[in-house]
Amino acid sequence: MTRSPELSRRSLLRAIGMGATAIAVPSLLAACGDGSSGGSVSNAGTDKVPWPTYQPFAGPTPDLPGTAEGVQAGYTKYPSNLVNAVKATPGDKTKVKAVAVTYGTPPKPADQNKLWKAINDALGIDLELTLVPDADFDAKMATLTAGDDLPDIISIGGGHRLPREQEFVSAKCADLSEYLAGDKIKAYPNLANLPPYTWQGMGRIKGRIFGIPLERPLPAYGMFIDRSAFASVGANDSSWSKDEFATAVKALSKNKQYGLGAQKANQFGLRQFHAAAFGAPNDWKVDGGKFIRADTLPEFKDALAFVRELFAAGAYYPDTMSLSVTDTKTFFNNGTFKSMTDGLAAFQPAVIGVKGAYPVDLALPYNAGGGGPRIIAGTGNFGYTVLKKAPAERIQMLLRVLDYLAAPFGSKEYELTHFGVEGVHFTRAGDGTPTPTPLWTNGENNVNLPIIYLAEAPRVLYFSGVDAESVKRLHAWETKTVPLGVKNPAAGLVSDTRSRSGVTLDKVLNDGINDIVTGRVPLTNWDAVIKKWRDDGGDKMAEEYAKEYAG
Amino acid sequence: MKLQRRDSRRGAGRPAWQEAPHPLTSTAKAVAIVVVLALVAVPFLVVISTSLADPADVVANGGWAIWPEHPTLAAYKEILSGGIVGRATVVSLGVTVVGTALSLAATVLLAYALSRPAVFGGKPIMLVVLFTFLFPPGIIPAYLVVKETGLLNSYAALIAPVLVNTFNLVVMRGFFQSLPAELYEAARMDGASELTMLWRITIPLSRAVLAVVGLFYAVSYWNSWFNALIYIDEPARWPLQLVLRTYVLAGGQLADPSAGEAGLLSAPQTVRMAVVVLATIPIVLVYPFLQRFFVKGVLSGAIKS
Repeated sequence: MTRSPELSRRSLLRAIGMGATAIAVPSLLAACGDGSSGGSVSNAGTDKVPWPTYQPFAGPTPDLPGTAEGVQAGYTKYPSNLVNAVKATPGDKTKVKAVAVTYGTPPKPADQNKLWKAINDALGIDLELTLVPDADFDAKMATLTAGDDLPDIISIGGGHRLPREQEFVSAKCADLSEYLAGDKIKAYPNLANLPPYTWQGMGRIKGRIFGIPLERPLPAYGMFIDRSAFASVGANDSSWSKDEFATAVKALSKNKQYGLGAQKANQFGLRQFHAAAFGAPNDWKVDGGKFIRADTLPEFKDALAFVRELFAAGAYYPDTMSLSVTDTKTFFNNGTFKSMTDGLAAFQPAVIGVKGAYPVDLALPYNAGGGGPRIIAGTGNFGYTVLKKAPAERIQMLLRVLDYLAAPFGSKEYELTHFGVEGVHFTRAGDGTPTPTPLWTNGENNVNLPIIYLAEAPRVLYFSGVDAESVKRLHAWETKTVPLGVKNPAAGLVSDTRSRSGVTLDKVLNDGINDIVTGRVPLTNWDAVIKKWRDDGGDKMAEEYAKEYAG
Repeated sequence: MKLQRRDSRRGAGRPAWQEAPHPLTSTAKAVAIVVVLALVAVPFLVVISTSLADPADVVANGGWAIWPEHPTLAAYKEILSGGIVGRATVVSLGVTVVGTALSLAATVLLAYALSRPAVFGGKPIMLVVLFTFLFPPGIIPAYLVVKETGLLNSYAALIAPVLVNTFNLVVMRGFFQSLPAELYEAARMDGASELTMLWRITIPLSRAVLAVVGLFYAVSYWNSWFNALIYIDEPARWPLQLVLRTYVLAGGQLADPSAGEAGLLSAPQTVRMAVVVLATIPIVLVYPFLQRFFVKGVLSGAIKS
């Protein structure tokens, strides 16, 4: 037998050595990059441009009035007197490439898709969409932003962050200040209708405006409850104490039913509901110019202990830590969970999913002393949209396109972007309510064609398929809780540490919470978790926020 | 009497030195087999049943069904009616067939060259090949290479970067090396060229390993979705697995509290399970035909003769 060309051990080791060098090189390059990436993206010490002037849209009068503080306008029926919010076709017949997150399934191509076609015609452009599934957003965007040929419109949102996001935006995307700051926004009336809190929630970079925010209501989270079940154990949330609350949810937890439910991402509803009820701030609190993380405060630890006790008492589903969104909703809809802490947007699916089996309502926070009760207020946005650098004319055209997509509720443009084409995607019931056709529910809708993540009108309380009574309950809850809302003072502020290692730092805290609530480690471990978080960059983040806040 | 009992305990076809197992052992074995079978079969049954069940029953039951009480094909109709899944199936079949053929051809040629003694540059080439095995490129460098070579948004991007799999190459090269050198010497005496030897000797003797490596390639082409996500922007050109993935994930991972509208229109559990069934069918269909090669291929080289 001839000797085959075997590799000697030595040559293999040599190859590995070469590999090690090759791996070391990129990290050295990256280290160089850190020092020369154009400096900080912080707003501190910059000459900040004014926020866009707020000019509310004069449309159909709501049945339940909204407030400037953030209670949403409510409509118990669809308005009959729709208006035009856009005067002329915004586009110039060119191809516009956009990238957005999607929570749906792929749409049919534009030439076979009546919704896409109608949108293209209305916008006067040839919209080409790159859709990034939510689960794959980070990987896809990392590669997309690594290449130089960016799409015209880039939507960043859904809780995702790009690697070194502010650096990327300020280096590669168009500075929109000269088109949007102050009164200049009046050229785009529907963008001017976006309330101030959503712009501030988005924030500025280096003192400039780079994006269009995607508005979301300020009340962000709530504890959805089966009102009849809570009433059946004599619970009255109008002024309940934490003990009354605990008694109620424990009483509801029997026969494989649970008083409390939350998907794994919401971690027992601790941050979304309980910590605020105990009076803890929303993520951060500013005290004498210093930034203090909620998790480090005694109120938060008390809430953690309370949730741990409820978990031990069996008020939570035992496998709450691995509950998917779908499972959580399924369990709430079929009565396994008597409550569900979730984003307010879960309201419509919940009311529809429960199918009238019981009234879906929202619980008021319980009293636990401290500075509470409070509720968590959102940043006022889902994310924001940025534009690739381009000549002024093209930027203006793209802004007109986004202005169209942001046409408010009660306009014909909103009807197109949210219900589709009459007779194709919806039919009108006797009272004018758009009723979706199977074409819309089975595929041609604005979830599968996610134009609403490029730009959208401020949300109102109008939900197709939801009865007037449910809308009134939600509006009443908002009216009572919006004054209790506590905002995150760090929203919209830039921290280099957050931008670099925020994900890792969050994980330290979140893993700590899971371990403690489920009883794997004692409550006293929380102090060690906090120390690790501080040492790994938490303290640095606080300093950076403070500097930015003062600046 | 005693002799008879011994005889009865010794099963038919059992060698004389082997006693029949104790009844307890047999029972334990049977239980173990049933448990293992159930571990495999029950999830399959649940997936298939749920895909055929009525969505309302599934919700009432907590998200699954062990047996569809009101069987319906609605979930399958919903998936197949959109036109997206049908198109994606064609894309996936095309990429799998073309990709497997090209990959097999490239792997056979390279493995053959590297298996022959004293090929010029054989050793450095082998080192380069192994290097990629030890240090695969990151996502972004791979993306930049695909972009610079102009393959973005083309089906070639799903094949070219993964044309030769180092593991498969090493397996095939090892198999080729295990063929008797005397065969080649004899062929050489008869004046055969390298290509003739490859075609007339190596390939006919290597059907088992070709079947196994071909199956590996086909399965990996069929199952891959990540490269399509990275390299292909237009959803209409996505392969089946990526499309099906969106069905499974739709509305499932809403990190943002305000994206509830997606939850409303997201695919019900029945549709997700139907998707799982659809994605599995081709592999289930192909496996039985390749199984005999598979066992042979995996065992190749286990015993040296």
